[in-house]
This record gives sequence, C-alpha cells and structure tokens, in this order.
Amino acid sequence: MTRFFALLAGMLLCGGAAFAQPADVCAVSEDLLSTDVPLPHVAEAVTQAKRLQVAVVGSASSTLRGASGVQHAYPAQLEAELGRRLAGVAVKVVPHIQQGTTADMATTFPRLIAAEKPNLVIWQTGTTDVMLGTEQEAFRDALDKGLQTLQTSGADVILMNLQYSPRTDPMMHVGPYADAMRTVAEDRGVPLFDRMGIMKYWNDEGTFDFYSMSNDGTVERVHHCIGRLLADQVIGSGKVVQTKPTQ
Amino acid sequence: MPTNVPAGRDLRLDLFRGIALWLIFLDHIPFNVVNWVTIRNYGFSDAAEIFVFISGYTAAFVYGRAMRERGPIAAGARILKRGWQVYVAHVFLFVIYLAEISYVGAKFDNPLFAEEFNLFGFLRSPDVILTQALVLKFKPVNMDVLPLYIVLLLSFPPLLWSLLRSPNLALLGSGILYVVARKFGWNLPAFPAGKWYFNPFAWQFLFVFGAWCALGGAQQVASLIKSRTVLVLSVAYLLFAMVMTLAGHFPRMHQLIPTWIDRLVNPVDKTNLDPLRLLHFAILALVTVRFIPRDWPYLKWSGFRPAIICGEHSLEIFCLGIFLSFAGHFLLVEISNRAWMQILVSLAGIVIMVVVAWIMSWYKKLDARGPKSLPPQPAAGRPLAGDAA
Repeated sequence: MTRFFALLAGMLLCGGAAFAQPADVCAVSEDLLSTDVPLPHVAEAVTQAKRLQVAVVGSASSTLRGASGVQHAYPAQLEAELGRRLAGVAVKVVPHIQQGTTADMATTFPRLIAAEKPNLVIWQTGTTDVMLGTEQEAFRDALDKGLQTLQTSGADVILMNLQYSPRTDPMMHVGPYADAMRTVAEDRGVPLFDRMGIMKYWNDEGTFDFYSMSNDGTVERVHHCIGRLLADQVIGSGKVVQTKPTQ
Repeated sequence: MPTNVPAGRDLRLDLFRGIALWLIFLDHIPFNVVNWVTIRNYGFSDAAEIFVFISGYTAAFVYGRAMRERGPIAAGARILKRGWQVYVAHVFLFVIYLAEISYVGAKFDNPLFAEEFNLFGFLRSPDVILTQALVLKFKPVNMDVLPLYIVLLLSFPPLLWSLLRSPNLALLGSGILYVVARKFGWNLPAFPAGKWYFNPFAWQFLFVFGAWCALGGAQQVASLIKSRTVLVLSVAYLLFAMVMTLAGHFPRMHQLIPTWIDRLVNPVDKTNLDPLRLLHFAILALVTVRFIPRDWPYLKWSGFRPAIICGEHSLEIFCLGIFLSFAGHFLLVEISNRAWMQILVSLAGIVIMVVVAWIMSWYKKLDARGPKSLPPQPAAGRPLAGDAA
C-alpha cells in the first residue's frame, strides 16, 4: 500500500509538478536505509572539528565515463549534498576509483588513510569479485580484513554493495556475494548502504528503467539519487551519536 | 535373464525428476514471480538436490543391472557413452548461451553499467573462452549442473563396481571424500577465477547416496522411514528450515531470529553441499517415500503424466529447460517484465517442455514398433539406458 502511494506520488511528481523537489524522486522505503549503526567519527568531525573528510574507494560504478563524468558521479553529488545540509562544516569527498578485487582494494587502505586521514571511508566493492568468481571464503576474509584495517585507523566506514543490473545480474552468481557483504558488515558493526536493494526498489517502482540498453539520460539522475541517499545515511547515522546523552 | 523392464521402473523417480526439471526452469528465470512456488524458498535444499539424487538412483538402477549381466567393461562403456552425450548437450547449450550473450553484448551501451558490461569482455577473446568452456572450466551461470553430471558419470564405472560389491563400504568411502573435501577445500578450478559452483567432490556424495538407495540401501533404512519419532523430528526440521529460509527473504522476519541461530545456520553453502542442505534433502526424500509408496495408485493418475514424461526424458528436457529460461528471460527483458508476462512465460515454458517430452515418447514408440528385423532385447534395453539421466 505504501509502495503504491509512493509510486503514485512519484508519478505525480514526474508528470506534472514543475516545482517538485527532485529529491523526492529518489525516495525509497524506510527499511532500505537503516541508520541504526552510529558513525562516531563523523559525528565528532561534524560537531567539533567542523571539517568532514570523506574518501570513496570504489570500482568503475563509482564514477561515470567522459570528461564531466566525475562531476556527475555520486561522490561529487554526495559532497554537494553534505555541503548544503551541514552548514558551517567544510566537507570534502575524494573518490579513489580502482579496478580490482576486494582484496586488491584492501591493500591500498593503509596508504590512503595515512595520506588523507579521512573521518569516513565509503567502500564500494564486490562487482569485480562477482565477475571473476572469487571464492566465497576468500571474499569474506578480504572484506573482513579490509573493514578491520579501516576501523582500526580511526575512520568510520560505510560499505556499499553492487549495483542492481537486471541485464547482467542473471549471468553472474550475485546472491552469495551480496549476502556475504551484509553479514560481514553486520559482524563488523558497519552500516551497509544497500545500493542493490535501493536500485531494485527504484526499478520495481518504475522510478528508473534499468533494463535500458543505452543511455536514456537516467544515468546522472541515478547518481544524484545515490549521492543524496548516501548523505541521508551519513547524516542519519551521524546523528544517532549526537543525540546520545553523554559526550 | 532380464526381467520385465517396464515393471522395474519406479514412476516416482520420473515424477519427481520431472517436477525438479520444471522447478530448475523456473528458478533459472531471474526476477520471476513464479519463482515463489519453487522449493528453494521453503527450505535449505532445492531442485538441484532432487536432480542429482535421482540421477544417481537411476544410473545405478540401469547400469547396475547391465554390470551384473554383461560385466563391468560393457556397462562401463555404456556409462562413458552417456557421459559423452551429456558433454555434447552441454556444448550445444553453451553455443546458444554465446549467441544470446553476443547479441546483448553488441547492443548494450548503458554508461551506468559500464563496469558490469565488462562481463561481455570475454567475447573479444574467443580463443580463450571457447577452450576454457570445452575443458569445462568456464561455465556460465545456470550451466553448471551438466559439467557436474559429466564428472560424476566419468567416475561412475569404478564406483558402481564397488557399490555392487559392497554398497555400505562404497557409501562410507564417498562420505569420507565429502567430509575431507569440505574440510580441506578440495574443488576443481574454474575460469576466470575461483572454483566450480557445484563442487564435484562434495556433490558426488548425494549421487552415490542415490545409487546406494537404488541398490538395496533403501530397504536398509526402511525402519527409519516407518518410525513415528523420525517423522516428528523430520517435520520439525523441515519447519525450522522453512522459517530460516523465509527469513532470508523478509528482513522483518529475519530480525526475529536470534543472532546465534542465524550465525549457526547462515550462510547455507550450495557449492560444497552444506550438511544442512544434505540433511534437508534426505528428510524430504524420507517423508516423501513414507507417504508416497512405490505402488501409490495416484501415480497412474493422468494429472501426473506431464511431469512423468518430462522425467522420462530428463537430459533432453533439462537442456530444453535451460534454453527456455534464457529465452524466457530474453522475452521478459525485451517485451515486458510485468507479473502477468512472467506467469505467461513460466507456464508457456512448462507446456513446451511437456509437449517436447510427449513428442519424444511418441518417437520412441515409433522406434520400438519400427523395423521388425531388430532383435527385441536391445530394443528394450536401449531406451532405458538413454533415460538414465
């Protein structure tokens, strides 16, 4: 029922209202964006240092190709959104796009941490492993080690899973990897940004058509929405700590 | 001397194998609402277990008799011939898969999925991919059951020989291999990385278990099948498996599961045939056999005929099902992926499977009635051997 109304609202917004906030198009059901897990370093950086340094480590789906691709990709959208909503805080989001497995990415963390000292690392991974068919246990170990490295370095972490890609997903064993990411994140006490669930929701609600073979102009809007929801996650999870009685 | 062949056929095998083939077809169409009817949503095991178990059962049933009557060499040669047929079928399916993926790969240019598009990158190096596919290292998703079956058949002649000599010892050996392979992570390598999705060293145990049941093992566990206590425990386990599996689909339900139980059970590993899956299948089989005896009158009911004739031609219908799932997914993507279309595609696929199986039965009858010059014995033996999929 709520989905029906969300869809209806979405249609009304898309169809007629020229004054509609583009933000509403991105809406997803509540259970897809859990902000239960706190981000203490983010909270501290925002409230005390007034300076939030974010690093996005991800594969090709964390950027867009072309000369202006980086500007439209979700890391830049996240920076803009956080900057707008966290008044008086200097927000910097630095993307680190790399081609490699989860284990490969994890090896770059120590240097990244030393160089940038981020308060938050958003780690998008899994796609390369699914395509190569990395063994489940090795995948889980690599994830766990990578998250541990980040957590012990004084940064908060958000783990981001794969894209929902209905044309190619059936050709890969996506399920076990997505499950592994969920459990490892849970075990490590790290919020999982369920990009796959969110995109599937948009697809089912008709917000975006992910079956399309070629660029029909949705690409930038999708990245805008992902950046916006990520900002919701960062601010939401950051607030959980802020409202705690002590400190 | 051979006994009456048709009387030896257990219709339950064909019935459940036929149903398993339908379920495999449905499960292989991604994002399909009809998937909700398949058993993988209601327990740990799925149609793959049914297929492998019954394949082991029928292989032992058919080739076991051949081995007793004509010796290990003749029976072994027939098993290897069957393995070759399955290999050819697999390569045929792979060509169809390549055709589909090449079509999509040539047209696909959505920058949002530029990374996922790399999946089609192998089309640029056919030398590598074709070779890797022929040696069964490269196996596209949904095409990993037949390679398992090929390996199982290739190793079956000596296995069958030992099963006939000492069934319990052979089963024990197979069980030890299962445990050791799981413990030390033995599996065959896959391309471009990783290992086989169906680990043959683990899944062989289910195949051998099926063979063992066919060669008299089922009688050994008859008291278990009849026991009331076992039934109560079985139903309890099936319910537990259902709750745990459904919880995986519904986050709200998942929250109600105590964490320690969740951690104990999940993830249920399909690649290495998790003991939870194995137990779930064994219990399903046990409960089924208890309530559906071999001479169950309804097995002759015409409503079951469609499933039974599909089960009788399992290799062909399996391959057809894989092809239909590709085609069905293609239609859903290209035309419409609304729920009504998903239901339509699912039903149409099953109807096609039944019609093709029916045509094959008709051909077989033609062949049996055919040239009078053929001696009766091979004519009676061949079709059955052909069915031992």
